[in-house]
Amino acid sequence: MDIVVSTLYLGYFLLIFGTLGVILGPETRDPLVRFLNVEIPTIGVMLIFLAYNHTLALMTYIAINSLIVLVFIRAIIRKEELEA
Amino acid sequence: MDTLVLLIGVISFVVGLRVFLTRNRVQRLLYLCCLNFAIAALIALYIKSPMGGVAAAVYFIGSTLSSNAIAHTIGKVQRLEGRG
Amino acid sequence: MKVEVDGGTVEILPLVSIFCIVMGCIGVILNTDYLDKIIMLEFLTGGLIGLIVSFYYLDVAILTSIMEPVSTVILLLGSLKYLYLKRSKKRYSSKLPILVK
Repeated sequence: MDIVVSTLYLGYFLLIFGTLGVILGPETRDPLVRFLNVEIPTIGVMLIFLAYNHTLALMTYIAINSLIVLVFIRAIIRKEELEA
Repeated sequence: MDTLVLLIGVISFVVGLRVFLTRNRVQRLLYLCCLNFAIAALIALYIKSPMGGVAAAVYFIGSTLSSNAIAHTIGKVQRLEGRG
Repeated sequence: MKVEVDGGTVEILPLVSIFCIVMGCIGVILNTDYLDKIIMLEFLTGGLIGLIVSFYYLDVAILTSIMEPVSTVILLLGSLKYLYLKRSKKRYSSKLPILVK
């Protein structure tokens, strides 16, 4: 099988399976577990960008993704501090 | 050249299966480090230009840094669980 | 560099990368401990970088290799602080149950 078609179907598989894992995975009452599951559809979107040769979109998405992790972790820790 | 790449591929498959199947966390981190080395070697052998060496070196440095961060956190979590 | 698989030729690096991505995807969802999930996420990102390199996008691969430890270190610090916070809250509520109500 061609590598481009294989990457495209792998990206679709990661997107669908990761979304199902975010919704009804094990122990998703904990917000940090749910946030770590959200990383999988992100990588699926990266693989779909890669299969369609959108290089600039892929580069921007990877650079922004490591910034959004900081914001979400900060928000989860602040919520846990306020509930205590 | 061909047998070298094939040997690294077989090692990488075996180590990947052991990362997935091992239950102990410290041993899993050890196999992950070996897998990162194998992927860096495959990157350096796949690209036929000096830029591939640069990319493999950057990946090697980044993965080693990340594995060291995970090992440090594992030590800190074990000390915290042993004390309290 | 190429392996003959009934009819077509398949390189080693995309094969290893696709294996890493599928195994990491299943492993991140099925594990429930934080550190196991972060280790499996590292496994998944290694597969992603290998697949980007096999498309010959070396600049994107170098950018991903630089940005990925930053994200992992932020996740580790956040998970450690979250674990410590949850543990101290549990100890506090078990010691003084009247103040929590």
